[in-house]
Amino acid sequence: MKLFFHNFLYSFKILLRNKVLVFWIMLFPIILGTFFYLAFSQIEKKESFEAFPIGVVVKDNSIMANYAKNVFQELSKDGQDKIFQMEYMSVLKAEEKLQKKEIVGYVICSSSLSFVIGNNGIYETILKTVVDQVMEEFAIYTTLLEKNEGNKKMDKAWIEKTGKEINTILQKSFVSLIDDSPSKLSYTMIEFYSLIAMTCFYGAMLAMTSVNKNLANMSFVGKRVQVSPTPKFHLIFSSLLASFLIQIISLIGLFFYTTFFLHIHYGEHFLWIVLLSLFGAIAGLSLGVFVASVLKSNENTKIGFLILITMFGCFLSGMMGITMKYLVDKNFPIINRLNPLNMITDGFYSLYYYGVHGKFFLNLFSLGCFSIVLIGISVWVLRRQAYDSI
Amino acid sequence: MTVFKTYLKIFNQYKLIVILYTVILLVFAIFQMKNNENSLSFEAEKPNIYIDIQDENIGLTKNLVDYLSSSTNVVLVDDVSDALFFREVHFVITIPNSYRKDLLSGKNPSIHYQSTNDYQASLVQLLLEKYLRIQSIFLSSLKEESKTILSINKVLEQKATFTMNTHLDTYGLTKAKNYYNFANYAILAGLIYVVCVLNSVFRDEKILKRTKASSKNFKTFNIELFLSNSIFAILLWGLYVLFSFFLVGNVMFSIHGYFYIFNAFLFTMVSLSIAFFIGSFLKNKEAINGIVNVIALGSSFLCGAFVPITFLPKSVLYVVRIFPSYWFIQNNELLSTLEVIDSSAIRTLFFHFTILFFFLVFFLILTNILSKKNLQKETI
Repeated sequence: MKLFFHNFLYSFKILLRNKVLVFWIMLFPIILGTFFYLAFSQIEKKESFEAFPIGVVVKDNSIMANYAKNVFQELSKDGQDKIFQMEYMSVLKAEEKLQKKEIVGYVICSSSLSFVIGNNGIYETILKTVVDQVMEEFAIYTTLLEKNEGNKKMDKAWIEKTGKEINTILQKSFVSLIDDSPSKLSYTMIEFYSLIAMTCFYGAMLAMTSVNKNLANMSFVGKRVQVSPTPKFHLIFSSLLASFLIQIISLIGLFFYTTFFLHIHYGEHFLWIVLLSLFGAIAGLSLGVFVASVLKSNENTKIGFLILITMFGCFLSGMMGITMKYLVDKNFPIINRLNPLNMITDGFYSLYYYGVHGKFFLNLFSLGCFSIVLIGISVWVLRRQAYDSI
Repeated sequence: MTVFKTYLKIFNQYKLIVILYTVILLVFAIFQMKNNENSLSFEAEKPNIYIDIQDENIGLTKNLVDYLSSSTNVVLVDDVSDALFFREVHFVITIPNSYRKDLLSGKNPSIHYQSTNDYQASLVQLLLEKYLRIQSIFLSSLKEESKTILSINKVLEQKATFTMNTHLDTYGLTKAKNYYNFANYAILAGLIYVVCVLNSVFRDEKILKRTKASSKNFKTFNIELFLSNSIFAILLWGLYVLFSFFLVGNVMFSIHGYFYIFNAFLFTMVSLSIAFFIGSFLKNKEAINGIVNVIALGSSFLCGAFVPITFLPKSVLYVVRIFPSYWFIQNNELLSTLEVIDSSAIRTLFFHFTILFFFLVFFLILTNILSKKNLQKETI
C-alpha cells in the first residue's frame, strides 16, 4: 500500500510538471471557453426580435395614406407590439438614409402602398409582411363595404365606425394563441458541453503518459519498471489514479471558471452533471490507456492520434458549429452513437433540455460500455507482457 | 542562397506534415463556407416551420395550412423538440382536433405554438396572427365557411409593390465575405504552424551556434529566411484564392473580388511576419500547437471570422483593434456592402491596408530587434 501511494504521489508530481500537458488539460479549455463566451455571449440576444428603423413618406392625404400612417404609428409605439422605429421623411431624405444603411427601407403612402428596400434579408421580409398586411386590412374594409352597403363610398367616418365593429368582433371571437415554447433554448450551451467533453478526452494524454512511463518499449524508466519486482497492476493503477485526479481537478477548474466567471448555467441537476463528468473523465482515461497499450509507436504519434480523435469527435459533436451535431445525429446517427465525445455533449444536452430522461441514461450507459471495452482490451494487451533478453 | 537551399531541404523533409495541415485547414474552410451558405439562403428566404395537424385537413383548417405553406417552409421532422433547439424549425404550430368544428360553431379554439423567439419566429407569428385576424372578421360577418375562405384568400392576394434599391450581388458578396473571413483562421494557423516548425530547425542549438559563428549578418540571414518563408506564404495564399474562384464564383472576377484577393495577400504577409516573429524565439516544438490554437483561434473568434461581426459585443470589437485580423475582416465586411467602390470607399479600404502594412513592418522590426538581443545575450 505504501508503495502504491508512493508511486501515486510521484506520478501526480511528474504529470503536473509536464508543462505541455498542463497547458492542454487545464489552460486550453479555459482559454477556449473564454473565446466562446466573448464570441457567443450576445449572439442569442441579438437574434431575438428588436424594433428596426424605417422611413415613412406620406405622399398625399388619401384614405389609404392616412390609414397606413396610423398603422405605422401604432407599430412604432413603445410596448410589446413595437416592430419599427419609424420616422417621417421626404423621398430624398429616405433615399439618402437608405444609402447610408441608416434605415432598412421606406414606405411610400398614397392611394396605394409601395416600399423601397436596400437589401434582401429578414428585416426586409418583415417590412414587406407588414406593408402587405396594411394593404390586406384595407381590402377587408373594401370587402365589408361592398358586402354590407353596396356602392357606398368609403370615408374616414365609415372606417372609424367599421374599425370599432371589427375590434368588437375580435374581442368576442378570436382564435387564441397559446405559447408552449420551451424555456431552455440556448443553443450556444452545446459549445460549452463540447468543451467539457474535450477536457475529459484531453485527459487521455495524461493516462497515456502514465502508462507509457511503465512500458519498457517507451522509455528507460519503463525498462527499469519492467524489471522491478513490484506488481505492474499496482504501478499502472496508481499512475492512472493520479491522472484521474488531475483530470478531476481540471474539470472542477473549468466548471468553476465557466459558472462563476462566465456565468454559464448548467442547470439544476447538479449530481447528474457530476456523474456524467466522472463517466466522461473515465472514458477519456480509458482511451489514453488503450492508445498507450495498443498503438506500438512513439509518444508524439500517440499524442497526435489522441488530439486528432478528440478534435474530430468535438467537431462532430458541435464544437465548431452546432449544426454539425444536428446533421450527424439526424443523418448518420450511428456515428454520433459511437462518438464518445458526443455521448458527453448529448448527455449534457439531454439534462439541460429534457431533464433526467431516458436519453441521458442511454448516453451514460454508452460511455460506461465504451470505457469497459477499451479498458478490457488494454488489460488483455498489457497482462503478462514479457520481454526476451537479447 | 545558403539559407534558401537549407530551407528547401527542411521543407522537403516536412512536406507531408505541411501538406496534411494545409489540406485539413482548406477542408475546414470549404465546410465552413458550405455551412454558412445554408444559413445565408435560409435567412433570405422563408422561415422553416412545423405544423402538427390534429384536425381533419379540410375547409378552414386546410386554408390555414395552405396559407402557412405558401408563406413559410413547412418541413417534416422526426423529433420536433430537437429540431426546435437546433433551429431546423423556428416555429411549431399545433392545430387541435375539432379546430374547424369549433370555429364554425362559434367557439374560440386555441392554437398552441412553440417558438425559438428569434426574427424568423417573430415573422411566422406575425403571419399567423394576421391570418387569424382576417379569418375571425370574415367568419363572424359572413358565417358561411366557403364564403369566408373566398374572402380571406381574396384579401390575402393584396400585395404592395416594392423596389429593391440595389444592384449588389448580395448572395455572391456574402459568400466571398464568409470565405475570406474564415481564411483569417486558415492562413494564420497554417503559417504560424508551418513557419514555426520549419524555423525551429534553424533554432536547434548546434545549428544556431554555427550560424552565429558564421560571417553572415543576422539581418541578411533574417531577410533570406523571411523571403524563403514567403514562398510558402504566397503558395498558401494562391491556393485559397484559387479555391475562392471555384467556391464563390462570378464575384471573384469583379473589382470587389480583386480587392478581396489583395486584402488576403496583405493579410498573408502580415501573418507571415507574425509567424516569423514567433518562430524567432520559440525553441520548444511541442509548444507550437498550443500557440497556433491560442493566437489563430483567439483572433478569429474575437475579430469575427467565425461569428458574424454584428453579434460581437462592442467592447470586444473595441479591444481587438490591436489585432491585424480585425482590419482584415473589416475590409471583407466593407467590401460585401459596397454598391460602387468609389473614392470614399477606396479611402477607407486603403486606410485599413495601411494599418495592415504597419503591422507587417512592426513585426519585422520586432523580429530583428529580438534576433540582435539573442545574439548579444548568447554570444560567449
